[in-house]
Amino acid sequence: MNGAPKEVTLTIDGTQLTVPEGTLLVEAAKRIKTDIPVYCYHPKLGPAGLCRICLVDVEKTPKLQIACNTTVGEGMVVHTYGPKVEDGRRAVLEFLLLNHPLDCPICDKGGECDLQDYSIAYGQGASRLADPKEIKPKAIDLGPTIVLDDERCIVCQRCTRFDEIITLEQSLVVKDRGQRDVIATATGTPYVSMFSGNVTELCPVGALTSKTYRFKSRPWDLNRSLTTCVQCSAGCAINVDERHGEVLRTMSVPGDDAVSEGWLCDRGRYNVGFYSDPRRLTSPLLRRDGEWVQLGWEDAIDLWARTLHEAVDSAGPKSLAALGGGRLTNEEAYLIGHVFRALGCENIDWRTGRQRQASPGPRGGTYADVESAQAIVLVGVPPAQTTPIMSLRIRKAVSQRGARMILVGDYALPIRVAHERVARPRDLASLDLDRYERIAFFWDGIDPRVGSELNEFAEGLAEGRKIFTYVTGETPNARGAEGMGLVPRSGGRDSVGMLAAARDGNLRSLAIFAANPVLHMPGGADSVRGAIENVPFVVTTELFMTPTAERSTLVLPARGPFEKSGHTFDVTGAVRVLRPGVAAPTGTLSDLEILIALASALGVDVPGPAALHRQAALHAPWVARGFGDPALFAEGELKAPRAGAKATGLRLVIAADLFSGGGTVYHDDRLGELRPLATAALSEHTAAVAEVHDGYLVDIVAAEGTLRGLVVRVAPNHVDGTVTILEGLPDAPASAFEGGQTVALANVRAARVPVGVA
Amino acid sequence: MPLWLFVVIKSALVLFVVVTTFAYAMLAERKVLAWMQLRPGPNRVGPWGLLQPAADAAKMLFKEDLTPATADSLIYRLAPWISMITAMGVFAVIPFSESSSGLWSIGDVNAGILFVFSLTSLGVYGISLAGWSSGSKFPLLGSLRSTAQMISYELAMTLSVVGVLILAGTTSLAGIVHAQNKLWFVIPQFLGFIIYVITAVAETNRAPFDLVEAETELVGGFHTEYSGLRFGLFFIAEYLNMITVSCIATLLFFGGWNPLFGLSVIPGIVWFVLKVGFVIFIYIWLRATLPRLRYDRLMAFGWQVLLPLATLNLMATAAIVAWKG
Amino acid sequence: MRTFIGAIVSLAQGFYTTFQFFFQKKPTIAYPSIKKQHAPRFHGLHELRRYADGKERCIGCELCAIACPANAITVIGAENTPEDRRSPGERYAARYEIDELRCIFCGLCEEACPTDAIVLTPRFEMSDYRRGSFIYAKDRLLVPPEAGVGTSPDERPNGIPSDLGSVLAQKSTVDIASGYSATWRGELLKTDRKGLAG
Ligand code: SF4
Ligand code: SF4
Ligand code: SF4
Ligand code: SF4
Ligand code: FES
Repeated sequence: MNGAPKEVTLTIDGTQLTVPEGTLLVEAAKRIKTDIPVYCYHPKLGPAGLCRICLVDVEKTPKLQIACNTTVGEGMVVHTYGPKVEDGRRAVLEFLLLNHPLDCPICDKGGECDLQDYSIAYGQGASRLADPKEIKPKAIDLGPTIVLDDERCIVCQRCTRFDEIITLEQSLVVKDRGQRDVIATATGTPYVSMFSGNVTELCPVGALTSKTYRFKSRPWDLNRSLTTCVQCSAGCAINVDERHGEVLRTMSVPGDDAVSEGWLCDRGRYNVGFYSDPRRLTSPLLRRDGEWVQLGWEDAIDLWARTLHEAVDSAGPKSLAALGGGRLTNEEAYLIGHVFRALGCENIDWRTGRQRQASPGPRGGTYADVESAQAIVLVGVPPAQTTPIMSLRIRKAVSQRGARMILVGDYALPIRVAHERVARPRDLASLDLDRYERIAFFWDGIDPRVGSELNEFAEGLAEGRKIFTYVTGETPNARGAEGMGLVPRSGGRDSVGMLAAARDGNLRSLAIFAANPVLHMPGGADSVRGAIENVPFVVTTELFMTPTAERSTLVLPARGPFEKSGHTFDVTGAVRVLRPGVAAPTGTLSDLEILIALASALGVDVPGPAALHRQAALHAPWVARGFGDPALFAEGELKAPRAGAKATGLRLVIAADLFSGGGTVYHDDRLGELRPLATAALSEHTAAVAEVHDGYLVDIVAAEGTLRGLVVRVAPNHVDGTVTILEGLPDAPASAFEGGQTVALANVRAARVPVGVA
Repeated sequence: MPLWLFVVIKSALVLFVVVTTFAYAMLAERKVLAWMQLRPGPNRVGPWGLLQPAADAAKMLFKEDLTPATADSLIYRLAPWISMITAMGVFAVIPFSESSSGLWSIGDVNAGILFVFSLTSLGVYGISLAGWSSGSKFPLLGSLRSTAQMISYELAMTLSVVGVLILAGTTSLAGIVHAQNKLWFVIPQFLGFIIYVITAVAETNRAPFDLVEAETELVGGFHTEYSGLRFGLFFIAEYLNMITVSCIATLLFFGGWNPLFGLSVIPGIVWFVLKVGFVIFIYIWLRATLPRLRYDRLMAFGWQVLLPLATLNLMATAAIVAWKG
Repeated sequence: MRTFIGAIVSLAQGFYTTFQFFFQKKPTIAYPSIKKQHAPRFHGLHELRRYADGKERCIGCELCAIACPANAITVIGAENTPEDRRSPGERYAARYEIDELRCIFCGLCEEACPTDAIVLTPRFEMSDYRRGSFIYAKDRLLVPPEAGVGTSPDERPNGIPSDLGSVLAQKSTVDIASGYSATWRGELLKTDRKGLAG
């Protein structure tokens, strides 16, 4: 449809309306608020014409037409109800229900099931089937997240089409034909996808159900609140369904076209059990002589304030430091900076993991811009691992607009899709990118040397073109933290510098806000732990006793994102709103409340709520001028990238799993097999050369030491000559290891380990 | 025997009798009310529920005695005692019967009726202080009502009695009884009797004039905050007042211990008790039958009906006595 | 004058009525010494039934809970496992609680139940001194297997026990002090939160 679309005028149920040519009847009807029943049609998946429940009567056509696959025509007269239409729908339903088990009382969909609803609206109430119903398998374990009930499936193929059109993973298919057809994966292997939960929402019946929600509740029991998912920086709108103080499930928000387009990734959808985990901290804890003692909130805040004052008085504000904030709301991040700067402290940094930069500079693009890009360059950790919903946009650009995909570095793509790969940003020059009008650059924000090299290249291309830049880092609200000023200014130390100062005994007091540097800071857990232990007074706000909290002097029980309100920035810098969806455990306070209490104990004025919210909901500022902006990094970090790997051995790639992390995943018992194993992933070729097989156990010998007992995963898409390990697993911390170095596999042994998530 | 010992023994005896009467008046009220409402009434403690008063007393004693934080604690604690002591004090002058050895009373005061009225009007202090000192709204409202009601009805009550005094020509209670040897004053003073009965109900804060503790409007009225023993004291005071006014009614209108139908074989005290019992029964009957008045109607009734009627009655009596005399 | 006489007459009528009642026979039944025979389908305390093989009838579908006009029922479902099979089919009620203080004994739960699991028995004597003890959980609702099977109170092979007997003797898991079952963490939290917010 080029140029201005032609308009056609038609009549639906006696109402005349004008819509663009090519509009489907079902969509046209929505404009006059008429809902035509559908099963197989879905606005994001398009028509399939499989179920035929959408029958409508179009005048001058002999038979009923399906509204989902009939485009509007000039002068068309359509009736969406009436005896003829209802007769047709009744017949369709009779066939759909022919072998349907009707186990609504135990069906998770019961209460929000389209088959129930339409059966009541159009069905005939009784079955005429005299023979026994077809028996099909029930409660089939389809994969780590999904349970399938074949009897309930009405073969609308929404699930398979989602897998095919949206995620491009193509693993779900309809097997067999006729009344024996069932849903299965094409290869017979478990259905593993980082977007698997969406099929349970798409399924109009109760055939696909989530393991975490199975039989937990009924739709009418749930209290729903709309908030924003803060598991990654994508910023998807999310519906939180709560019952009895527990988040039982989360649902996507169909109208969220600006960000999620109505999808959710599995991390955001399933990692919600931690809110009601019994291990939640519910009282301030002070370490005294190696023992944790409970403390009242007032005492805890007073102690903290007193220590800060004493440290300033005795050793000056340079002996204070504040770390973290990248997992908090903008309001909280702003207050961290406000309170600590009021004390004269400039040692403030949100960067507690591998990600070192959050804002992409003035060329930063939006979600819609990704779709329009003709070439997409992914540098470093691909967005699929850090901001999964962003990767769906990339897949859309690739599949629907044929965008060219270029990977820089050794990271594997989770799906099979045509792409090119170069080793370093400057190698992009050989790819003739100046052919394209619109190019999107994605950087993981980890290595500033790579970033500045990429920046140089992108700036060189920028002339006369549209360049969209994105930093798809691992920290959920890094944009907010950076935008609210949690970066060292005027001679302050950054996080690496702070830990160095701690090691040298130059820090008197360290505050860590909702961060786990022991697990994630480069340099390794032992070194960070040692540094933290060297600070006389360390305060950590956390939900759980993480490895970092364990080393602190004072641990303050905080609240999670669904338990508070505020604003965040998504990865494109747009403001997103958080609203509480579940009651926080008694005894916890949000970081905002903690900071306000601290400010008042310190005698620091804080802006009132209105001013704070205004501040937090401003458009995200471009803190950085581009990728790898030198202003954000310490001297020495910006040296040229290290020379290529040595010829022998394997290059080490440190990736993140969707479910990496030591806090929310580690303390969520519902996740079960979704929790990642410590794996060493190799391409088929590499595995063959190294003579290892899927499921073997290996050790990896690197310059910093040996990683023991990794499970070998042989997976396509990995770059030959690399071995990929996962970062952020509490049981196998990899933060000590530097990516890109040459490592060797050792101690290979065959041991069968149950299939997990690769 | 020294006089003081004699008085102490008499007082102890009267107190014992009066308190027992109170207990059984309460039981009687519950029973009569229940029967009039087609219920059996208390019947679980002892035979026919006869031990119910003891059980209630034990319960009262063991209940927690609360004082609200906002209360004026001294007055709050004192108020129930004021109510109860004034209620008991009245019995010092009431003659229960007469025999050859003298009057059956603790003390024979020649202005007995004035002593009775002065004490009963002191009783209102207990109630209004209780309401005021509780430091909460409902009790305060209850005590305000109580004060207004007492003042309004006290006048009519006193006036209604003056007619009897004129007829008897004495203020000694024994003297009034003696004056009724031939004709009970209830007949010449019928209007006075009716006014006395109505105002006495109001004076004792009983249904249908129990606006002071109207539970539908004021929770418990002046005693909302009271519990345990102190609440019990108010309770005792209320019933003692009821017995007092019944005794007065008997003395003033029903000829005291004078026998009926000349049946003087039955001792005077029996007649007295029977008559008092009859008046108490009327009280309970009233409670079982009539709904509570609206507050403005209560006041209007007191000032616009009872007071003029009592005045009329007094003037008529005086005129007749003067004309005859 | 007319109204005055009318008032006197009606007063007299009132006094006459109460006086008459004073002597009438009282209809009160001296419960508990005398117990009245109730109607055969009297709606009393609930009971969760079993199948003949001892499996629970209840499948935890919550239809009773949504049908209940008094919002007295809380059901939390769970999945049967081959090792721990409570009911036929996939789902059973991991938690089933009725707040008998809220219940109005209308029997709509009985009507709604697709498996005839919840029925109202004629038992009605459940008074207690603690509110918490009126939350009947599965331990007191579920009939012991030896009580026999049946789908309605008149179909009880072993008869209806005259008191709650062994069913009630079992200890409740409900936290009596708070009135909520211990694992109803959410409810507890909510009440706590109110305190915190104030
Ligand atoms: S899919 Fe719908 S109709 Fe079928 S059993 Fe489930 S709730 Fe009932
Ligand atoms: S499983 Fe659900 S979504 Fe998939 S084809 Fe069957 S009914 Fe449709
Ligand atoms: S009897 Fe009625 S009120 Fe009681 S639990 Fe059942 S449905 Fe609810
Ligand atoms: S008692 Fe019946 S209606 Fe209630 S949850 Fe169990 S099976 Fe469902
Ligand atoms: S919705 Fe139209 S055929 Fe299925």
